[in-house]
Amino acid sequence: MKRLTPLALLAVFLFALSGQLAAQPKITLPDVVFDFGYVMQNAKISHTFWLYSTGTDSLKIEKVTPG
Amino acid sequence: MNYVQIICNVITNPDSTYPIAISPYKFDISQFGEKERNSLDFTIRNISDADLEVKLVDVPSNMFKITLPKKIKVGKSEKGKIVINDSQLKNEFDKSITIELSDQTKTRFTIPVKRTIRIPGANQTSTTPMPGDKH
Repeated sequence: MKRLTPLALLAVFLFALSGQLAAQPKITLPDVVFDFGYVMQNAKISHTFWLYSTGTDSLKIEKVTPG
Repeated sequence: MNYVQIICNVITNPDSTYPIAISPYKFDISQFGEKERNSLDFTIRNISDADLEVKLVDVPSNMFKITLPKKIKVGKSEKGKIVINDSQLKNEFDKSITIELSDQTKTRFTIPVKRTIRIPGANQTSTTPMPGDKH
């Protein structure tokens, strides 16, 4: 029984580790600020922010809130 | 929570910009009629008291080819040109480009780029009877 104890501990450790390593989505934004500078009033302007999915699971964007 | 931030300074009078004046202040490359229009010439005038370098810092990918003057001397005007890529000629859009100057504050200007297409008769459907049409 004493021989099993280290194995049991290892099993518990690995089980805990597997929870840590579970697939998780992650988003990476290389640039989060963009300065348009001077812009004419009422002008329609645009800029593209790149969002990278860098996790180990699919990334879902469920909500985007302006403001 | 992830966030992005955009910053801009709104100007109401295109004639009061500093240290440059861009003419026209918005790029309208619309096409009215059959004749293809794919480019626009513009002028940048340096109204400051120092030479300025101009660089393009933001442009929609694969949409335009832009020629900018690299340097504009004090009080001088230089020409630039924007050309729509062939793949975008049939599209209408509202986009913009952003340039940055070499002055102390690295002043930026964002210029709207618009394209509307109106070709008379282009959307009319043929009235010629086709085989199989029911009358």
